[in-house]
This record gives sequence, C-alpha cells and structure tokens, in this order.
Amino acid sequence: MGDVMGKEEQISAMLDGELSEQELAQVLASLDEGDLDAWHGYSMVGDLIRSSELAAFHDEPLLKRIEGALEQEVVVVAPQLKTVLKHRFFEAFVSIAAAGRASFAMAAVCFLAVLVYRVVPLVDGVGHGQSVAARSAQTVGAADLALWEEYLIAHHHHSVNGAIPSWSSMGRIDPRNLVMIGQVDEKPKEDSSASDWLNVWRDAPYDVSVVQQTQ
Amino acid sequence: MPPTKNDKDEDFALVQRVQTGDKKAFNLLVSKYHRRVGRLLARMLKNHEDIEEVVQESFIKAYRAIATFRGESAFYTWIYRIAINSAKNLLVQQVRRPSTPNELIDGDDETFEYQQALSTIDTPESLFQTKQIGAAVNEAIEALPEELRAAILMREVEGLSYDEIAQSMGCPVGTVRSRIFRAREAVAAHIKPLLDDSKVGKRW
Repeated sequence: MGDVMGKEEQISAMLDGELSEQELAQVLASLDEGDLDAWHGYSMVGDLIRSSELAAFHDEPLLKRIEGALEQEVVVVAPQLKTVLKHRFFEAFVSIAAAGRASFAMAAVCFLAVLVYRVVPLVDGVGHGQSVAARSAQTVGAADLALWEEYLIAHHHHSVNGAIPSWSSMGRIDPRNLVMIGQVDEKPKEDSSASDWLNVWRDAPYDVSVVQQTQ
Repeated sequence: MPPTKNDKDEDFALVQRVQTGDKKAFNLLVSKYHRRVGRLLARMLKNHEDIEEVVQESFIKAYRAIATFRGESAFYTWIYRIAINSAKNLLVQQVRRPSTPNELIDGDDETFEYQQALSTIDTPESLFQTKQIGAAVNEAIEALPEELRAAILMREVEGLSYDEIAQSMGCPVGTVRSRIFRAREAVAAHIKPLLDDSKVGKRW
C-alpha cells in the first residue's frame, strides 16, 4: 500500500477493507460529502453487479433517518468499556479477596481461641494447676493430654535446636511413662541439662527429667 | 479471546473504528448494507413501512451492541442475524396485536388488497426499473477492458481479496486496487443517469 492513491481510490479500497489502519484513520478523518457520495456509489455498484434487484432497496430517506437516530445514541467506545469492566472486576476481586481475608482472619481467631482454650491452660499450670487439672479431667482424656504434651515438647525442641535434632522429640511416648500434669508434683527443676531448652519458654511445671527418660 | 480479523470480513477495520467511538464509520456500514438488509427483510415482511422500521431498528441495535462484536463472524452475517430476529419479533407482535376498529372498517377485501399492493416493494414500476438497471450494469461490465472486468468480478462476485486477485492476475496489489477503482468509476458513470431518473440512487 505504498503507492500514492487518490482520495476516491482510497474510498474504493476502504470499501473492500484494503486500507491500512493508518490510512483508514486518515480517510475517515477527512471524509467530506463528495467522499460519502463516492462510498455510496461504489457500494451500490457492487450490490448491482451481484443483483440488480438491490437497486429497489436503496433508500436515501431511510439512510438519513438512521443517521439521525444514531446521532441520538450514546457514543460506543469498546476499549474504554473493557477497561471499565476490568477495573470493576478488579475492584470486585479486591473486595472479595478482602472479604476472604476477613473470613480467614475470623477463622484464624476462632481456631486460636479454641487452641488457647484447649491448650494454654494445660501448659500454664503454675498458677492454675488445680483448675487445669479439673478441666482436663472433665474435657480432656489422658491420651489427648499425652498428644498435646508430645506436640509441645517437640515444637519447642524444634524451635530451639533446629529442625534436625540430635534426638527426635516426636518419638512416641510410652503410655506407661506418660507424665500427666495433674499427676506430677510442681517442684522446681534441678536438672539444668533438661531445663536448657524448656526454660527458653518458661519453667516447666513438672519434672521434665521424667519426660526425657521416656524418649 | 482478542478480536481477530475474519478472512472474509472486509469490514473489520471499520467496526474497530466504530468501537473506538467513530459514528461516521458506522454510517458507512449502514450505507453499505442497508440495501441487502432491506432485501432480506422483504422476504419476511410484506409491508414497506415494516421493512423500513426493522432495517432502522436492526442497525440501531447493532450499534448499541457493537462493543460486544468480536469479529468472530463477518459484520454482515451479524447484522443479518439481528435483522432476522427483529423481523421475527415484529411478526410475533403483529400476530398478538388485535385488529383496530379502523382496520376492520376499512378492511374489505378489495381495498385491503389494493393497499397491500401499494405497500410492497415489487411494484410493476420498481420491477421495470430493476430490469433496466440490471441491463445497464451488464452493459457497463461488458464494455470494460478485460483486466478491469476480471478484477471487478473477482472482487464483487467471487469476493476475493486484493492479494488473491493479484496472485490470480499476476500483477501487483496496487494495480489490482487501481483496476477495481477504475471499473467502479466506469460502471457508476454508466448507470448514474438511470439512477438519477429513478427513485433510487439519489445521493450520487
């Protein structure tokens, strides 16, 4: 399309969809009445070559009416519409994500509340030993306590000593050697080697040496 | 799916212009297709006013929905579908609509048939004009130099692109473009007097 074209030749090529985007923009920007007449004429020639009966359907007043009706229409701008839709989708996504975050946060709070309700009193036995023992007797079985004990010891061991400890704290505890909070005496520890890692957190409410022997 | 140019959709670039807010581009499409849409509707609707109404309604509907047109089909097939659906809707409405008292009073057989005959497209006069115009177009095509005739027929009848015509004729695309343009000018000049005398083609 590098050849120099006259305006009417451009109109002819436009009718066939053979103008480049740039040429099309230029032609449309400079359309005058003469160009429109050329467009109507060339398109009619094409119709008449295909079928002469189409001549009967050429209707100038109708074209004027449609043109007038189109002027009343809101200008269509599809790319902006897409942008708006994308923006709205993004906003909707953000709000949904925010709602999701809120839901997740609420779920996390509930989970933590249950965890605190179930676990913290069990390990916070110094000041509340009796109440914990009483509650555990009502709601927590010996097996549950043993599992929680096992989990917390392992957790602290991993936190302090790293993921590859010299001995596995996750090894199963022999039920016969289970140390139950309500069963042990709350005496101060004297075994410094055992309290090295437990004291990072807080003083153990029971004699941890018994626990270590079970490993 | 991003918009893609259908191989046979020569109007895709114009549609894209409309989608960017160019109403002038849509008016060109109306001018190009209103005759074909009118003929299509004349096979479904008998009343001339109904045909005009549905032609207008179809193009307005198309304009309103142009943002959703993605070029997966040619524009003319899209506007045809809109026109057919609009005509069907009108026919359904007409079946449901009860006759008005005036229609019943004026609706004796003789008067009714006469009004119907006046309102249809295929009047004897229009049929005669159509025949005359058809003959003039054929004369004009016959009078064209061979390369111009071949180029315009390959374009308008076969629907080939400029590239395809250039390959077929063994010439550059620019030459094809020029030949088609000159052929159109020659045919238009030949039939213009006929169209000026008739009720059609007043714009040129």
